[in-house]
Amino acid sequence: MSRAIAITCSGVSKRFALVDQGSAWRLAFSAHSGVPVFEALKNINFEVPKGQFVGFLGRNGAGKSTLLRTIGGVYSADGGQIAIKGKLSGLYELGLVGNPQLTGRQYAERLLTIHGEVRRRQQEMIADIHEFSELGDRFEDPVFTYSAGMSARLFFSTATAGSYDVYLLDEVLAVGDQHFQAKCWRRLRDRVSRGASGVLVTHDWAAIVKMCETAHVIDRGQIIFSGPAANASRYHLYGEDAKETFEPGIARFVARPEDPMTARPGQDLVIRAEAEIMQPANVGAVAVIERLQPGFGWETELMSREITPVGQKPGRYMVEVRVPHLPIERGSYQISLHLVMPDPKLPGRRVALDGFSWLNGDGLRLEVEDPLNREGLTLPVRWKVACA
Amino acid sequence: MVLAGFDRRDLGMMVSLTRMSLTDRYLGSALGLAWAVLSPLAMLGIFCFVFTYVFPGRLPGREGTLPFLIWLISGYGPWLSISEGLGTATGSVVGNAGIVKNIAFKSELLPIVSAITGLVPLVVAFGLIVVLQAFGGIWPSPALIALPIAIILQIVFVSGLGLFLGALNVFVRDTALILPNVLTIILFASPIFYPLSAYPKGAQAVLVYNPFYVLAECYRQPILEGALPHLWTLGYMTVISVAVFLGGLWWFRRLKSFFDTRL
Repeated sequence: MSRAIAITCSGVSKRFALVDQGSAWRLAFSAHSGVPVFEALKNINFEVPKGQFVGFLGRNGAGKSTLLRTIGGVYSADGGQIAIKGKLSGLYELGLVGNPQLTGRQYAERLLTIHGEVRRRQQEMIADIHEFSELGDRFEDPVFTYSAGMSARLFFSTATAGSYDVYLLDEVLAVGDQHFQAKCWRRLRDRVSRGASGVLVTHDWAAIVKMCETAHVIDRGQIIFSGPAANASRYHLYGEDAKETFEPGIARFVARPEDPMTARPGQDLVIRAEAEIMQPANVGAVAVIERLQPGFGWETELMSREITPVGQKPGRYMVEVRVPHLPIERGSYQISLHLVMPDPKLPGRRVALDGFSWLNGDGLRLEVEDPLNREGLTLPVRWKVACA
Repeated sequence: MVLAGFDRRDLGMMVSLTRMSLTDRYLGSALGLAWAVLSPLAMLGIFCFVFTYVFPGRLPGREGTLPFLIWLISGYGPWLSISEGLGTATGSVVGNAGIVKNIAFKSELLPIVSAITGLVPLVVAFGLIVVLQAFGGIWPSPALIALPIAIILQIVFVSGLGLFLGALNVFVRDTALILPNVLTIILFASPIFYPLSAYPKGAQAVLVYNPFYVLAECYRQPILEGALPHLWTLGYMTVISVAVFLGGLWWFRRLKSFFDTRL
């Protein structure tokens, strides 16, 4: 089955002429060649499937906002093709555009008019905007009296009031209080569940992990990484050199453990992998269980404090890291498994010898299912202290 | 239907933008829309005072102050409207940077909208003329049906110049600063406050092709003489307006993709 595509970008590029006082005249009156240009976007290719948000991460000035405006048609692309299916709503910047003398209501009316909403439907939508933005009586005040957060409320409410097919969002959810942010997420999820798609551009990786399955990292106008949102955020945060380095030649894993593993809460989890020690060393194994998935964020659930000893002499060993009474609930997790040895130079530190880690793109998956029965110890536990 | 790259959706956008800029222009001041009427009224009043009492002018072949006043207003009213249109059109792209950067629409519409909103002083001038004519017992002549043609020609002409100036102003911000001076020079160089016959014969032959003068004549003929404008003025003005509009549009679209860098 071929999936429906909402946005297709192929080979999109965008150049900005670098204009100073002198070249402004030249640009206006003579040929355009010879004016120095800055390539803001270079050969951008991606697709947004219907019913999904795709994230773009990047540092300031990487070309994120330019890309969003180019997709939205505010900037004209210098090369490549952009195809969008459906009605589009773009939130390119949070500043309120237009006349600050307008009241919140007039402002909303104006934006809706510009988006081509017919007057009949507007009243309904304005009521929705008024309610969603929670501006109350301030809705009738001029927007220049609004705080940044209030403007953001008004702007977001207005831009998402109609049911659009494609949303283009730029750093939108970075402002506003937690309560309103949560509301925004709910509304966006609701739109997505009804088949809307979109592009979310931000340097807030947590937002990307929450909202998107796939994400791209953009740097100097180019997509330098594409993949699952979690990996993209990792790449964005630490870059290419964040890949772990292993001390070679001492020990290594021979085979990849069972993947994905399944377990149930409260049961013992045993992570098994075959390892080989090449040089005599005090080799041990450690495992970290992390939960990192859309809708939850990124947190370490479980870390083995003790090193599970593997062996000291060269040879093949079966590594067994045991997690007794798995104290985590149903869900999808990531396991990082490492072979380590004490650092000869820094006592108390460890040297990594080999490992599987999602940071390197070869992490192990762990699916925790519902507990078989409700007996035994499941967290949270409530104790009762009674006097005998 | 697509005309010069504009379609129905753009027409709707143009209507919304026009409504927007009209309210914006007069919103937030105490008297609101009253200024739209009062400000051209004040300008017309000053010039009427100056040219009837300080430097009394007479229309060749006409007696009395009233015909002169009507003549003055029927020429100066359109001029006020042209200069208002050009002034706002020049600043339209830079002034609406927020919209240009955040809403996908044809920014060519902005100078055109300015040319349309510039018609407010013209409407005021027309109102004043009707009052003066009623005062003098003159009935409106059927030739006034030619006025919409003049208005359309003016919109097209001013839009064309506005497209040129508006785009230029994005790159050379001095444009908006020099414009008022240039407009004043054009105003006094054109036979708008004085009849064409004030110039020597040789100059007249050239000045008769001044589009600002020709446009004023398109208004003056029906209002003053009760006659349709001379065919050649209409023909000449149509050619000039369309040429200026298409030229301005070409210029604007050529520079449009570079706006992003300057806004």
